[in-house]
Amino acid sequence: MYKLIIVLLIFSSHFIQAKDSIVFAPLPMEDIKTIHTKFSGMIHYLEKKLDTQITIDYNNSYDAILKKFIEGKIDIAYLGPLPYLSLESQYEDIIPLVNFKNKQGKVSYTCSFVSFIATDAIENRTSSQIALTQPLSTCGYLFVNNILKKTNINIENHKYQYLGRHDKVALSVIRDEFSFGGLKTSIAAKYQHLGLKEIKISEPIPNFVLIGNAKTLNKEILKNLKNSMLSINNRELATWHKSISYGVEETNNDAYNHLRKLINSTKIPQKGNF
Amino acid sequence: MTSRTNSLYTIFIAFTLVSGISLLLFTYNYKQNKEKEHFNENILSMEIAYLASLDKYRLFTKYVLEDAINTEEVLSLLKKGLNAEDEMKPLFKGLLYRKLYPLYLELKKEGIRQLHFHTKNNESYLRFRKPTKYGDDLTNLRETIKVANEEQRVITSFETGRVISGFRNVFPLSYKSQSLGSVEISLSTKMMIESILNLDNRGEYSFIFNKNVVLPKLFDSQRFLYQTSAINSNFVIEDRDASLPDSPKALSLLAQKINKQLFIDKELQTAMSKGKKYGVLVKIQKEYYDVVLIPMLGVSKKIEGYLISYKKSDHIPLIVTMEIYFYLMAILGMILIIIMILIIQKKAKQVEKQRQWFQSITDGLLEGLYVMDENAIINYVNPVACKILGYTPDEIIGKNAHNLFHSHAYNDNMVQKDCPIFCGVLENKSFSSKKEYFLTSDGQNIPVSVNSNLIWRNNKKFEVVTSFTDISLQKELEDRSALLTKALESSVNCVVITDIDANVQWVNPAFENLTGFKIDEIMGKDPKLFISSGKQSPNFYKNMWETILSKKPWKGELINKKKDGTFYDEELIITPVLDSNANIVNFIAVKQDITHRKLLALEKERKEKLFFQQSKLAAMGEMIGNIAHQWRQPLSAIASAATGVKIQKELKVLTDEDFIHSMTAINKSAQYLSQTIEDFRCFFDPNDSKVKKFIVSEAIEKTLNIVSAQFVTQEIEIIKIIEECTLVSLENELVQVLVNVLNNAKDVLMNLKGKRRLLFIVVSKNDKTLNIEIKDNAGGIDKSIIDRVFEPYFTTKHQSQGTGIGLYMSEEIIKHHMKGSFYVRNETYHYENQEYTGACFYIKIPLENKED
Repeated sequence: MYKLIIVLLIFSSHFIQAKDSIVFAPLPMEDIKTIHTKFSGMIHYLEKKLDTQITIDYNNSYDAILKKFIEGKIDIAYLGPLPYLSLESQYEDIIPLVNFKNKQGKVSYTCSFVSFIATDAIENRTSSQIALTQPLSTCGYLFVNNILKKTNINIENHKYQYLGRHDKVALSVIRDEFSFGGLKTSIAAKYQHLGLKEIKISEPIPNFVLIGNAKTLNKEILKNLKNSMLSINNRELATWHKSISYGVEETNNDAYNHLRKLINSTKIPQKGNF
Repeated sequence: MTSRTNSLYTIFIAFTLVSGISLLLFTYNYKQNKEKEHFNENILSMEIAYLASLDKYRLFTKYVLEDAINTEEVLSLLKKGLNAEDEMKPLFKGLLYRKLYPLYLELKKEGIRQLHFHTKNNESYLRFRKPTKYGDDLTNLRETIKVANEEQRVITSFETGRVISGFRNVFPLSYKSQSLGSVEISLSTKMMIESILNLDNRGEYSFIFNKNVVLPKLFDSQRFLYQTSAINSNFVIEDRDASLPDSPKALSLLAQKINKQLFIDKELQTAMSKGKKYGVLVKIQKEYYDVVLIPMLGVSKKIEGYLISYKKSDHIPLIVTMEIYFYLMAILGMILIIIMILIIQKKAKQVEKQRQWFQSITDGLLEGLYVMDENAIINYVNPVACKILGYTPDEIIGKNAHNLFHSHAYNDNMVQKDCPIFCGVLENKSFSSKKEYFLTSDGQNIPVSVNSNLIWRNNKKFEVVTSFTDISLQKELEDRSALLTKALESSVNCVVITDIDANVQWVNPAFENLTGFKIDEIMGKDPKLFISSGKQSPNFYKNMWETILSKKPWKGELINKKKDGTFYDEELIITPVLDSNANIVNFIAVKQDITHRKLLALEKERKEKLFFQQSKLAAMGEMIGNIAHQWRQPLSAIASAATGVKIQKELKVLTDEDFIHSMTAINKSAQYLSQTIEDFRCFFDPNDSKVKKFIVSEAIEKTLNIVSAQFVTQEIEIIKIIEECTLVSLENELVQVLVNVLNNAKDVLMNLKGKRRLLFIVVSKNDKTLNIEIKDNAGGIDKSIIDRVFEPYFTTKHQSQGTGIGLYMSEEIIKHHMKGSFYVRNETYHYENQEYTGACFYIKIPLENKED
């Protein structure tokens, strides 16, 4: 009889600790199919490791993700540095777990300021239309404003618009709907064959980070999550989408200090100026 | 019912079954044909809609090509993009994208999913839908592009792809006679469905794709969009949940239910494995749905997928929807016919059974029965009639009844018009007679009792039913009865028949003669009231009634009283008469006046007593001699002893010892004499004649004590073989018989001169009988007289020696007093190696006699 009680206790503790499912919020910048393609490998891996189902919560904007995260509707999220810092400033239960490496094995990326191959330099233009991703996108207003400021160009003298996604920024520049655009360097590279030209490139920015919600997940799960991500082997990684298949590193929160300073010195408008 | 009739019913049932099954098969085939027609119509309709849609978009894309792509500017940009220096290629490609992007947007609005340029080497050049994907070799994946480039012809076909499947229109492109490659304008499956819906919006449509064709082509990242089809596991469905904007609507619940049924349709699975079109009716919740599957062939004629339509069915052939009712009606009809046949068979059996019942009644009649028509022609005759008349039914039926057996010499060969039976029936509708005679087939005239009745069959025709009985036996019985009655009435014995309460029901005149009472006086009354003498005790009558009421006859003698008051002896035998249930219904008493017989018996008894006395007297005379013999020796012994003592005394030589010896001898002899006297006294003691238990050997010793003296004198050897036994009987009488037999033996043995004289006494017994054999060796009794030796007064001795009543009395004693048997026969036997012949008397007495 006591054996049965022990078994029941073991199972009951398991049930108490386990969460029915973990809600994962990926990037809001790409379409559902791409998102699914990109994260399915990672999700399956974590589901297996945590023995918990992971569901994807698709969102159209970082704002939506941050809001849901604070409300406890999202357990883990894959965020760029700016949304991470924004969330950090609003929500103390955010736990940075790991940063994703890029192709070069680094946990940082860069943003590019681009134009079509045949477009004149911005310095030669009095007013140009600039395509930006999102207010909370690192490669958006923050980056473009900083780059232009360095060449003594005031972004506010030009017209800018938030298009939401990096690929939209690239295509809108190719289609000559905008003369310039700011987007992630790695995405911009994909559109070079269509005449997209890189004009400026940013300082390294901490790569995408996987964060956990300490309000909805207990410490053990969070620890388990981090360890699972850090202990992943190359064979498993090979099955993941290319963009996240280069491994992870434990997040170094100090790497965000430069960006924190930049954010603090920049007031990012939430809407375009035309 | 005959077995032939039964066979006919069986054949008819079998015929009904075969017909019913044929009807079912015909119905099934008819339904199959109608269903096929129905499906063919649906398939045709579906094919028309599908092909019309394909054609519509082929024409549309051709127009787009001619209007917007096959232009100088576009082709020039394409050419430059393909052929310029590497650093300039992005510029022209970008410009091409920029130029055609508005067109792409317009095409998207029209449902066009992809605008895709390829190089002439089948490499992807520019995908408007996925601009970052380019440069991949499509030679082995996209047959449409390969064929279009190689054969420079327009290809319109459904084709699965690396990202998503679609309806491809691939156009080869050339500029100034230089092949530039090709351009593909693809239509999504969603738009194809919408196009078909525009033509026929009554149903729901979906696509499934050949798993073996689509899966190897897919980018790995696209595999998640495909799931195994619910209809066939060799096919997949694309974006089942319609998560992509270009995907067709997700299937309705109804279509999903239908798919479940299709999955178990083996015929469908076979058709799909062969790439055939297929139509089927599916019933869901009492509604019928037409499902049509049309194969979509790729350029290489491989099955790339199936277009499926689900429509609520209308104009379904009645036979299809009502199939089960047709079957039920056919089966019901069949069952009804079989039931009717069975009912008819049952009724026929009942009728047949009834007919057989009537037949058995008529056959079982003790009377002959025949039916004749208005012309006296017999149309039915029962077996008894045949038997009485001596004909077979075939010999009678169809013949004229009167002429056949009612016209004969007994009635002066009467003609039919004078026939009393026929005429009597016609006149009075019925006729009865016990004075008719019928002529049998062997020429005998038999008396018959006839009853005829007229039966009208219809207004004009009638039949005469005649039953008749051969009353020959009845007449004979009546005669016998009369004889019996006469005999009883003539009997000198009085016969009285009473009921169970002893009231007289019938009595013969002898009763009157015997008792003096008139028959009328005692009729219906108990005769005891008239003739009882009061001489019998109540126990006597009680015993009598107990016997007869236990259904046993009672026989006894009693004294009754005549009307004039005199008594008479009567021997009465009363026998109970039982009915079929063994109940007493009557008593028959046969009385006989035995007064005279009684008197004779008394006389005989008196005579027998006389004989007995005479016999004893005779024996006494003989016994005197025996006594003399018996006494002679002891008297001599006494005399010589006394004389001896006297002489010894006189001579003074008498010693005490001699004196005592002599006195003892005298006393012993005196005792012997006393015993002898006692034996004889007992023998002659008339009071000693009573039944008692005695030892047979002792009785024989007593006998020998009486007669042995003479046997010794006559040198007769007595050989005794005696088995010890006791007997309950008359000892003294047995001794008397033995004395008689031994004396007779002694007499004949005395005549045996110079020869050994033997007398054997053998006593033995078995379970029931004591056997005493006494035989001598005197040569036996002459055969001429051996049967008369037991007659009274028969003797072979001189008148002075025998009276002739010894053996007679002995037989009387053994037979009547001791209930045994006594007989004699001559026997030849061997004794001590010598053969002897002599008379052997056998006395057999039952052992079970009880002491009274």
